[in-house]
Amino acid sequence: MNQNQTEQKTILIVEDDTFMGSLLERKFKQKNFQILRATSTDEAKKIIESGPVNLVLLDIILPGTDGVTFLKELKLNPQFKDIPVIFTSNLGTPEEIERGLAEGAIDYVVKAHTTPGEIVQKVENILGT
Amino acid sequence: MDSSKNKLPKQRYVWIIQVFFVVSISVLFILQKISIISTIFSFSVVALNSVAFSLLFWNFKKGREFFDVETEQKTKKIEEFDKITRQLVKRDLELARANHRLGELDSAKSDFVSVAAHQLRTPLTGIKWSYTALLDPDTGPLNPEQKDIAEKGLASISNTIDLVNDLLNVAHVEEGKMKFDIKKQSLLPIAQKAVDGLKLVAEEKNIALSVTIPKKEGFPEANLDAEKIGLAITNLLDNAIKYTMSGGRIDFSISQEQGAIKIVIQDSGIGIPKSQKDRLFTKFFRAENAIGVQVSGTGLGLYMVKKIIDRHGGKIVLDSVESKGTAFIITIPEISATKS
Repeated sequence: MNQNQTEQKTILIVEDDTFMGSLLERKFKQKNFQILRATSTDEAKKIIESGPVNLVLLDIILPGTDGVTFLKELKLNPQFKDIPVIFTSNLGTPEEIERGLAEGAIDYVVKAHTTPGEIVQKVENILGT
Repeated sequence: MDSSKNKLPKQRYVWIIQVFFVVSISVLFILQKISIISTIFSFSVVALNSVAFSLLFWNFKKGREFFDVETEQKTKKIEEFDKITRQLVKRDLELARANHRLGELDSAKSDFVSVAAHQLRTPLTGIKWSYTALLDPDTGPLNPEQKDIAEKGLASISNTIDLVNDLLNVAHVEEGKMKFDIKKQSLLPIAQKAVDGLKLVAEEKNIALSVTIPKKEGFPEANLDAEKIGLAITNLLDNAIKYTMSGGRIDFSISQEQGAIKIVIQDSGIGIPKSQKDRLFTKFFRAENAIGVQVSGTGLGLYMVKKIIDRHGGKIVLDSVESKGTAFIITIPEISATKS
């Protein structure tokens, strides 16, 4: 299916490392996604509340509230609980991955073990684009 | 201790009373107030009293002395016992504190390993993603030299990330925190996935990779942690590729043999010096000729592989000739269809 012919999907990238965030943004934009960026969960919260977001790429270690706590809060809110969230973190022990998925993330990506292109593919599979 | 001195006045009173009694009887007798029989009887009573008191005091004194000695010994023993008890309680407290402290240090070590791995991975990921972006056709074409540099940079950084992962995995094995999720399943798709992940790497190095994986139907299953066994196979295959020169050959095969599933990874690589074979599965060990070929490496991969195979109740052995090649042979107990 041609992405240009469908509704543009909005991805929120919550990543405090601005360089990695920009590399992700660049790859997603190449695939015609609309990108919103946040470097903390406080910013992410404001963005989610202000407009529709189709999927969230969420880092775990972030300034202020961490990603796992943010996801818990998101899942408690009926308005946002159905937004798919993928953890993108460099915490990668089986326990950390297990914990992330147990909180309701749709997937967990260890950034060092993947590439932006592979993350885009995952998102496309989840959103059916 | 001289407690006998304290009892002398009491003895004196008794003797004074007795003397007074004798004198009184004598006076009464002299004054003919009592009969001779009564006097003799009274004197007899006094005499018996005296003997009785003497014996009583003597015994009392001896008894008291004995008691005093015994008490002294008992007191000493009680004091010693108290002292030992206090020392034991103190040591118990010290042990409890030390144990608590060890728990804290263990937790801190675990946290440190996790945080260190995260902190190391983050900048490495930035570099890896940069090379990936440069090599991405969507970014634009690179000239052959630029492409070669970017590819080498990507390979190098990927290798460094693997080293960090090895360190992290071993730290988990050491702490007993590497969780095993062992289930009855087929090894074949796990092995296939591991092989598929490295096919391209072997191809790029111009190494012929021959794979013999039997059909799943009818092939026995085993109790396996898919992720860990996959990690072990990947590690061995990755080593085989690293230490086999371009133009060499690797044979990967899975077969069934005497109630076990057998995995063989044979390469035509640099081999392992005979004198160093015994140390190959020890932590941080790297064979001398391996260091010559691949400078970077933690010497943790094979150590971890052995731990994983051990945990599956399997065995890993090697057959190697320096400069000719190495074969790693893994056997894992199969589960026969009747056992299921």
